[in-house]
Amino acid sequence: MKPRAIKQVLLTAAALLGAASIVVPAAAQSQNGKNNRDKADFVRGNATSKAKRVTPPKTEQEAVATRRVAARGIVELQLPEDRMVNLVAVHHADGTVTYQHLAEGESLPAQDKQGEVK
Amino acid sequence: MKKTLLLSCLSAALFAGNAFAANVIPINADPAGQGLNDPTPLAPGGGNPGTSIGEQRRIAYQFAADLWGAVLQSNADIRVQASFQALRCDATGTVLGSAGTSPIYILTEPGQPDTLYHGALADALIGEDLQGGTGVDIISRFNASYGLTNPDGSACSPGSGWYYGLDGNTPAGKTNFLNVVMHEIAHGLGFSGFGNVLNGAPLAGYQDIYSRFVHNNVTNQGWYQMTNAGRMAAVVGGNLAFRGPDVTAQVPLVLDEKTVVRASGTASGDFVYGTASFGVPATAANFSGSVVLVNDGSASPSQGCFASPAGAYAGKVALVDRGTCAFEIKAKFAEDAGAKAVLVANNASGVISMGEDASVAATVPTLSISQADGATIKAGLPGVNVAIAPVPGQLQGADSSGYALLYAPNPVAQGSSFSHYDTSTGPNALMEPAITASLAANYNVDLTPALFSDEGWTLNPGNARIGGCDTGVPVVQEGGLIIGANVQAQSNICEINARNHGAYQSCMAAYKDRLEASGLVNSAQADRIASCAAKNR
Repeated sequence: MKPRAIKQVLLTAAALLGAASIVVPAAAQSQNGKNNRDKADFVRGNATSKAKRVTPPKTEQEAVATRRVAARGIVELQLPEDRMVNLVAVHHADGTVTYQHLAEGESLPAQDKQGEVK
Repeated sequence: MKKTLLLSCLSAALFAGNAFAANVIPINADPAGQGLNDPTPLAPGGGNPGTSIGEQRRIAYQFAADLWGAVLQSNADIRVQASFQALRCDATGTVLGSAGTSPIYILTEPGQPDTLYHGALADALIGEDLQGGTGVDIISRFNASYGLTNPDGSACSPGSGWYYGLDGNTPAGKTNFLNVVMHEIAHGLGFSGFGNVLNGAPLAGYQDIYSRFVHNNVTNQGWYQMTNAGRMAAVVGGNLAFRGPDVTAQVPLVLDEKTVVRASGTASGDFVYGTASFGVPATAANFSGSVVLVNDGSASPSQGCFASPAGAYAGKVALVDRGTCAFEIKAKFAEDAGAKAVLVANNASGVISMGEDASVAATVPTLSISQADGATIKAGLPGVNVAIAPVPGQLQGADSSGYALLYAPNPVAQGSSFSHYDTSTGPNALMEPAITASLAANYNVDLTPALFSDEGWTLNPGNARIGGCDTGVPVVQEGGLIIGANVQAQSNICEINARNHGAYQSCMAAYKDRLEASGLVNSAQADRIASCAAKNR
C-alpha cells in the first residue's frame, strides 16, 4: 500500500465523509527523537539504551489473545513465537555446511547420512 | 469496525507529513557482562573500532541499524530488541540467530481485504508510532556461543564464529555478523509472510502484505486465490514468484543471465547445476571439455573417494558420484589426476550446494547436477562434452516471465520456505535462506529495498547527508546499492568513537580513501565526503 495512493484515496474519502476537520496530532509530525547521542548510548552500552527483554506469545492462539485496539483505533496483535524463525548453520556428515531457518522448538535435522540430499 | 479502521487509517495517512529517514534504534536486552555487554577484550578489526566482544557487537549492530534507517523513511522510531543468548549449538548444527516483527497491525484500504502489516511498516504508513513509544517493533537475538563454548563447557562450532568487521572481508570459516543482522532485521521490516506454511492457513484468518504479491506459477493463482490445501501444495511446488512491480522492474538490473551445464555429443541437454564453496568459481572459460567417469579402482569406483592414477583425467571434466566422502575430497582426487573441472552427480533428485572440507584444498572448478542428469551423461559416455552455456532471455533466480522466484523446496522447511528469495538466485541475494560469504550487505542489499517498496515502504530518494551536508552519494539506488547509506552509517560510527573533531575527520578521511580506491565512489564524491566531514561539528 503506497502512502501516496492512500492519500489520494483519502482526499476523496475525506470529502465524502466530512473528515476535513480531523486534527493532526502533534506526535504525527515527527517521532524521530533520537540523535547520535542516543546511538552512542547503545554503542557505549549505557543504561539508557537497555530495556527488559520482550518475549512474544508462544502460539497463534496466544497471539490472537493479545489482540487489542491501538492508536487511531487500529487493531494490533503480536507475532507468535512459532512464526519467529531461527537462522541455523547445519553441519552435514559429508563436510557441507548449509544455512537454513528453523521454527522455534523444531528439532535440528539429524546428522545426514553420506550422500543424503539436504 | 471496518469503517472505523478505514477512517483511522486514512486520516492518519493524510496527515503523516514529510517523512524522515527512519531511525532504527537497537535496544540492548542483555544482562550486565553478557552478550552485547561482554567485556572480553577483542582487538579492533575490519573497520570495527570496538575493543571488546560486546562493544564490537554493539557497533556492528548499530551499523546495520543505521544502514536500514538510511534506506527507509519513517516518522516513527523503529525499535529493534537486540540480544545475545546461548542458543542451541551441537555437532549437527548451530542456531545463529532469529528475528521477526513484534506487533502486527490490521490495516484497511479500499478494494483490499483487511491486511496484516509488520509493525514498523504500519507505523511508517500511518506516520506515527502506533505503540506510542513503548515496546519494540522487531525482536532479534543471536548466538553468543558461536565459535566459543556452550554453557556446559562443550565447544560450539569450533573454527567458526562471528566476524564483526564492517568491511565485508569475512575470513574463511567465519560468519559475517553484519550480514546476518541485516538479513534478520529485514525479516522484521517486511520480508516475511505470517501464514502457517505447514497447513496453508493465514495468521488469524487475515491476509498479510508480503503474501499479497506471491504467485503460484504452477496453477497461475495468487496466494490468496488458493485454498489452504492449494497453498500447502504451492509452498513445496518449487515455482513461487514474487510479483511486486518494483521487484519485477529491478530483476533485470540485479540478476545474472541464467546459465546451465549444456551437454553435447553422444548425450545432450541443458542441466541445472549447483555450485561449490571451494575451488575457483566455474565459468564458461574454465568449465568445458570432454567428460570422463571417475574410476579410482575402489569398491565404489565412481564415488572417487580414493586417489586415481596420475593423469587419468588429464584435460577432462571428471564426472563423480556423490556419496561416502566430502565433495572437496572427490574434487581434490580428480584434480590430482589431472581433471580441469569436476561434475558431481547427485544420488537423488535435485541439485545441491557443496561445502568445503577443511582436510583438503581443491582448486578445480566444481559443479553438481541431479542424479537423473548424471545418468543421462553416463549413458552417453564416451563422447559427451559439457560446457557452461547461457539461456538467452532467462535470469538466474527468476521465472520465465521475469518474476523473482521464492524459496519453495520439497519438503517444506518451516520458517525458511516462502519468506526468502530462491537459492537459485544469482548473484547471491541477502534474503536467500543461505548467508554466503559473497554477500556484502554493507554496500548491496540487491532486491530487498524493491520488495519493501512494493509493500509500501518509501525509500529515501536523495543523497547521503553528513550533518545536513550533501555528499553526492545516493543513499539507495535501483538494484539495491546502498553506498550512501554506508556513508551515513560510517559517519555515525566515526562520530561516536572519535575523541575529538580531528579524530572524526581522520576516521572519515581513511574511509573515503577506501571507498574511492574500491571504486564505490568517484573522486568528486570522495572529496565531498571529506568536505562534509570537515563541516560536521
